[in-house]
Amino acid sequence: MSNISLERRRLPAEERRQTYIDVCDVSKTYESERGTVEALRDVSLSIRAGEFVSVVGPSGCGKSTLLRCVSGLEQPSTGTISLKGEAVLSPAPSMGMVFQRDVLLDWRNILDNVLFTADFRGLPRKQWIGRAKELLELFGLSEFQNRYPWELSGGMRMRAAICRALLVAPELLLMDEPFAALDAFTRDDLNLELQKISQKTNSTTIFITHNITEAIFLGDKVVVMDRRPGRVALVLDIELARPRALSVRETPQFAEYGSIIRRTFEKLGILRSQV
Amino acid sequence: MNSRLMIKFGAMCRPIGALLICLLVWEAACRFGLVRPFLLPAPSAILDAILQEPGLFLYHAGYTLEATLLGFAMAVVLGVAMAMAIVQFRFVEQTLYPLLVSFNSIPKVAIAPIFIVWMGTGLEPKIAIATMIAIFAIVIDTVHGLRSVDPEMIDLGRSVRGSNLKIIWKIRFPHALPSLFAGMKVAISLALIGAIVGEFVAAKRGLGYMILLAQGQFDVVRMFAAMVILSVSGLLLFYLVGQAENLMVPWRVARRRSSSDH
Repeated sequence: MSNISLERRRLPAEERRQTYIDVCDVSKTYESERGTVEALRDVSLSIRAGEFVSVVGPSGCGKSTLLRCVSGLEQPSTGTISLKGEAVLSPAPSMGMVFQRDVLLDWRNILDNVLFTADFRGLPRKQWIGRAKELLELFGLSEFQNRYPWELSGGMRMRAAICRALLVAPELLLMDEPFAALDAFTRDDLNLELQKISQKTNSTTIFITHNITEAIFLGDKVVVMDRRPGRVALVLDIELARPRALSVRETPQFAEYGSIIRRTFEKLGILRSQV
Repeated sequence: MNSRLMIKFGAMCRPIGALLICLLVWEAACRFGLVRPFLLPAPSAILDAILQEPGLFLYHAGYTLEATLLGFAMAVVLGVAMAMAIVQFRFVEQTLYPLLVSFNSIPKVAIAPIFIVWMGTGLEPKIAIATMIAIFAIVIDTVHGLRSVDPEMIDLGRSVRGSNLKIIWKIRFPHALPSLFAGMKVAISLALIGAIVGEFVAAKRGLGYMILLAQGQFDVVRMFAAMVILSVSGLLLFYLVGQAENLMVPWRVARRRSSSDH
């Protein structure tokens, strides 16, 4: 199916309004050596098709757990998660995932790393090689396709990891703090590139971060989470026109969103307003 | 490039130089009558003995190397399979693993005579003993390698609906290759020891047999000659495993190089 191009997948207005992911009263507890850990409590969230949702919260607020439950890698202790109306019991075929670390495979060159997704799904790689190259081109990695991960910088490695997740044109893209380990310049670059690609592919995206600015910049919606046990404290719609330039971060509207989120964290006792 | 070559050359020079000095001292001690030649023959005498009958030494060395390499190959194949089973199945881990550890504490030399009883005096018992001695290093190191995979890497495999088999074969196994090679470097030397142990117990060929026979005839020069061939073979085998590692695990080699540069 290499003819799935990177052109914008047009979603009918109806489908756009429909709920794509429905997280309903999800709680998750772990048994650890130091006793029971409650990672999530009564989280409910509904995400429409094509929406870009940023989830922001401090470390240990269960945002990664939430993502793992949505992905089907883990099951919630109570509550349900459904995707297009069907319960998520295992990773969905139409899902792509980007992790905190790039987890590129050292023994595959960049092109083969991107084709990993096709290999693992048992798809004929010949049909996907064109799209893989197209993605690498888009992320400026064409000349590195025959290089190995250990020859690349952190930013380039993360770009390759994103290409890998996007290979099979996922309807659902899950990203778990993908840019946390990158420097500020590379992060800005990747924010722009991610916005560009997600507008093109129209994947429904959940993006986990602990960076408020990044969350607002990328999201159609920002979910603010409270820590231990993880709960949804606020869901904020971001009405900034797309495509957004980096300079949008200096506008009053952007600052307003930022202060709403910061005030929420202050109320939760996560951020302090005074020294 | 030039300076790297120089560094490499310098690194080679030192051990060879040290060896040459040892040999010179040894040779001098023999020539000046400090040691009696029937206890410790001079290096030149040993070299002479080898050069006089190269075919004979080659014949025996070939036999020992055959047992070593076959035993080593068996140890790698069986060891990797065992390691995968141990990592994959809890049941195997709880049963086979402790058995293996306790089995390893039995001195293999003590088991060797039983293998001769079971398998005769041919090549088979030597292969079996070599395998038995070498396999432990392979299993331990491979298990370690298979386990040290980043959990996110496993999640990545699961997120694209990869089967357990695919995850172990396409993620865990390649990831464990550097560890496997570390185990193989130990195992290849152990396999050689195993083959010699087998020959010491009962054999009609091989370097071990040659040493025993020469001992019976008080031919110290020949004993030393066989030992020299044995150590050169051991070095060569070790070197070959290292070369195979460079070929198959280029990412590990590159990382080692960059970490030693800084």
